[in-house]
Amino acid sequence: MVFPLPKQGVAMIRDKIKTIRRKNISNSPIVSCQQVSKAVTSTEGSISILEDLNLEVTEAETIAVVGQSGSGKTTLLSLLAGLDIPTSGSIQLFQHSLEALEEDERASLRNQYIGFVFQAFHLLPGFTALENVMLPLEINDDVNAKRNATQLLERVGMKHRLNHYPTTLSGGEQQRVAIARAFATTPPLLLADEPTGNLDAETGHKIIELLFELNHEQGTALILVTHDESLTNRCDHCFRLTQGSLVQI
Amino acid sequence: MFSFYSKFLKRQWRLGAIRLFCVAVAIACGVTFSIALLGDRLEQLFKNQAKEVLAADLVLQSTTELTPQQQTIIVNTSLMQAQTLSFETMANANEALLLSSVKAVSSEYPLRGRLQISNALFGQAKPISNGPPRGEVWVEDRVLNELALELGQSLNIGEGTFKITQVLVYEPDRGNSFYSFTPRIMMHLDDVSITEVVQPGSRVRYRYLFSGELRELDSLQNSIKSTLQLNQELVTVEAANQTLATTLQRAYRFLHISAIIAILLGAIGAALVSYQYATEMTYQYAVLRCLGLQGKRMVGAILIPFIVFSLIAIAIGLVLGGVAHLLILHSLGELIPETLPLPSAKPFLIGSLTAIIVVASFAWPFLRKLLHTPPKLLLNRVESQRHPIIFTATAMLIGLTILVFIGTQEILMSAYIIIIICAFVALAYYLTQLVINWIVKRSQSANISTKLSARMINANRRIVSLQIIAIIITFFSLALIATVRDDLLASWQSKVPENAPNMFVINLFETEKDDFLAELQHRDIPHSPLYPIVRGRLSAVNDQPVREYASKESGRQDESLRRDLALTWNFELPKDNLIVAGSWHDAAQPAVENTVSVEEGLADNLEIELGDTLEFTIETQKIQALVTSIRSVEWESFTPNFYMIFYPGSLKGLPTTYIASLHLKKEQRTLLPEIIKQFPSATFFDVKFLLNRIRGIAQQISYAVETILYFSLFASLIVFIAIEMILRHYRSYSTAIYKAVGARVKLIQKVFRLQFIIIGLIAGIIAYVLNVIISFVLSAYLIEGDYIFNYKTAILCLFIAPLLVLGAGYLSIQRTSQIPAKQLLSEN
Repeated sequence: MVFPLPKQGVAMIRDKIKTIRRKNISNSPIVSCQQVSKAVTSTEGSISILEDLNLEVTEAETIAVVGQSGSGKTTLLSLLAGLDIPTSGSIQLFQHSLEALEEDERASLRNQYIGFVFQAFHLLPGFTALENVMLPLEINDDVNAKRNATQLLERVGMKHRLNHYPTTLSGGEQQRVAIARAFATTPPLLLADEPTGNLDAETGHKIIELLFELNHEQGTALILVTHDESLTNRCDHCFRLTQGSLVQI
Repeated sequence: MFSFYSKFLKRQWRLGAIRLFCVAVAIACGVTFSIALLGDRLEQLFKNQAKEVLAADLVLQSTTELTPQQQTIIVNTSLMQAQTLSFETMANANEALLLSSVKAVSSEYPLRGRLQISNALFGQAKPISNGPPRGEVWVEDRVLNELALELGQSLNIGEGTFKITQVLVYEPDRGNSFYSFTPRIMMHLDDVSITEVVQPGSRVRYRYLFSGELRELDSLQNSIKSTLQLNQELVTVEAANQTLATTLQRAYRFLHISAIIAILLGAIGAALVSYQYATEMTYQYAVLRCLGLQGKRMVGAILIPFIVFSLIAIAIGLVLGGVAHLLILHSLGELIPETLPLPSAKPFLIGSLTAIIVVASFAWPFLRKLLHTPPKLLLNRVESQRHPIIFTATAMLIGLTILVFIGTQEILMSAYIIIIICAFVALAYYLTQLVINWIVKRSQSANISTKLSARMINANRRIVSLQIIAIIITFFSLALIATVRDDLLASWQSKVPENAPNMFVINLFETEKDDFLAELQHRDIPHSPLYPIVRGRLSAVNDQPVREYASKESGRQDESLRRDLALTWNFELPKDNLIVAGSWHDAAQPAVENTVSVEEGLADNLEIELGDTLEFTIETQKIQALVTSIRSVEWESFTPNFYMIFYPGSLKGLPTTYIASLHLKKEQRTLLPEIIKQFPSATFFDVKFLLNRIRGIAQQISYAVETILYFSLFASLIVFIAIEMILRHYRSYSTAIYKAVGARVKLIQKVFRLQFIIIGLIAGIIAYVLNVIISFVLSAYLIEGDYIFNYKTAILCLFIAPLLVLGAGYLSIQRTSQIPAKQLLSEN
């Protein structure tokens, strides 16, 4: 299945998403994991990371996933983003079965529906802050990429740093740019992987505030993977990933 | 311990950087080795022939017969003697003509060494102690080929007809000019008179050969020395070998200079891969340190792989160089003898030394830090990236200087080359920046793939510029050599106007003069005036002997002093000459004394001014003349031109021949054999033939240089791939981010492909533009011809360069676009 790319830019996508949300998607889950298992094969044999995992996320819902290192949080995020496919089970993302899609189709789906925030920011060095934020919009052939990216950077308080390169930005500033990039295509789902992991407490706090503000403004669903259990209070639901399964806490 | 190192080495070999390091060092080693090998084998050849280089122990060379006094000295010596007489003339057979170099030899020739002949074309050569008997000629294979002759058939030289009985393969005393424009015909000295080609005043070279006891030779040398005329020279074996060594050294230097580009690119490639290797290995060595590897074993773990891989590189380089030297030999074709002796150890040492210098000054500065890898590096990764810039730059500069010096063997020349290289790199860098800026600006409104490609180039601007410069240097050199070979030589040749003289006639005698003019008139052949020629040397300026006047210290040097000048006289100023100082002598103002008009360039070089008195030695006579005018001369007019034009009568009574230029139309060429028969002593030079010969030789040399330049092509690709290795992390990382934000694999691949095409195009366009500029300048100023568009260089720079870069780039990032984006997550 090929997803048609919207040609009229972010505003158009935003309208489209709003239309979808107004219709019936709000009642049905935007993410649905059914009996998802993931195992990797090594010389030692097969290692199971996730086992019969079930999860449903509805529109604008915020979910925190906590768990020990190596518990499979990152694997879960990469499966939800379509960066990897499960060994068994099914993942439905916006009513599309991920395992049935080709890699390029999953990339299109990601571009339209998913925003990413990483612990290590992952901005492209050699690209300015503005160019980094423009990237997903340009991939989407958005003719107003520059204008929309500028607006978003202004929104995250980086108006004065538009043409700065990542190496000249502080960690907090880099994460602000990364958040702007994640929200650039107005995705209905945001995946955040330890977004404050590389920041000091005060900066981390500001970043989380910003993340939740944008989340509310855009009505985005959020899946937040974190070690910080205090963040769990700010989410609608909280799960602990243990022995490959999610347990609500 | 051996097992530890061997396992360690095996693991290192798996690193791409190490394999590339070996190739880069091998290229630098190989290119030097190939040229050194060629040079050495030629040197060996000449060394083997050194004793027979004169075909005698002592030779008296002269452009005239010996004086009676000299003849008396010679008759009284008990040394063995032989004589040769060389001249150029038109040989003919089967209605075809061939300008040939005839060497007539006495029965005793050669006194040292042996001739080699063969009784079939390209047949087995056999040595023989004497020259051809009377009535026969031995000819070089070119004579048979060009006149479509076979052994046993007849060949006409002047009035004589001779039977060709053998193919002349080798003559010992030809070594110092192992190639001549004209093919050799050898005949017996006593047959020269039959040809009637040589007359008083003819342009010929006599060689009187002597061999025997050293004491006798010394005594002869002493007695002859004082009687030597300006047109005579005594040549010893040592002096002949010295001339040979100088010629060889020049040729070797020329080829080596063209190899410098490949050597430097190889060195830069080695530096880049070493940087990458050091970066990759730093953590491995830090871990080994942490695990307790200390002291000698740690040093061994770093040095042993480095030494082993350098040795592997040298071995590969020597094999590569050996093959390349065969290719160069093939390109040079008949310019060098077919069989060369085995080389000495010298080229192997030079090749290995080049590799060692490259490794020591370009690779080691990056690798030496590994010796001091601190285990704490595992906690602080940033430190590993630091390299001492001053130490590295100094080492590289010293290395560069030594590498250039190996090639030039001259400090000043090395300095010039380094300055030229630096200036060219600076210019290429500046142009690259201009083009990248332009592309980045223009790409703002382009499609996504172009935009992202331009941005990625901009993001790695410095290192990508290095890639581009390496490609520019290579393609510029390749295009330039093609331009010189194809266009400049053609333009130079085509510059000759349609109706310009295409034939020179020399050695016409007074008695033949009027008949010759009548013949030309009868046949309706346009011609220049007939100019008389008397051969003589400038012997004094204002009574100061020319040896003192134009000594090395005086700075007054001119090539014309080393040979006989063609002196003429005329009332009329030749057509293309202009008086730049003084006044031209004419019949209306009879001169009270001998006067002469001097060519401007020679007057400048020798600081000759109006009013100076010049003395000329003509055979045994001395003539003085006052300089009354200085002339500019159009040397390329294809008409007879002269350094010295005397007032008529000044050279009266001296042996005179005549020269003229003719323009033979195509259909008139068939008349030539008939005319030559009528005037057997005259020598006809076909201008087109000579121009073609010169062009042919230049082309062969350019092919040899091109073979060397292919090394540069490989080296620049190594630089390119080494940089791609350094950029690999960046490329994988950006791929993962593109994927994470939803880019399709196709788009990512397109972005990479476009980047390589843009890099190739930038390099190709700049190389092409620089080539056009240089070609234009060379055409306009050097040969004063028109610039010719060369589609080959355009294809080379604008298509082949981008395609090659695309291919190499695509290979080096083949797996990058397959990098899964989830790597970004797992790095957390």
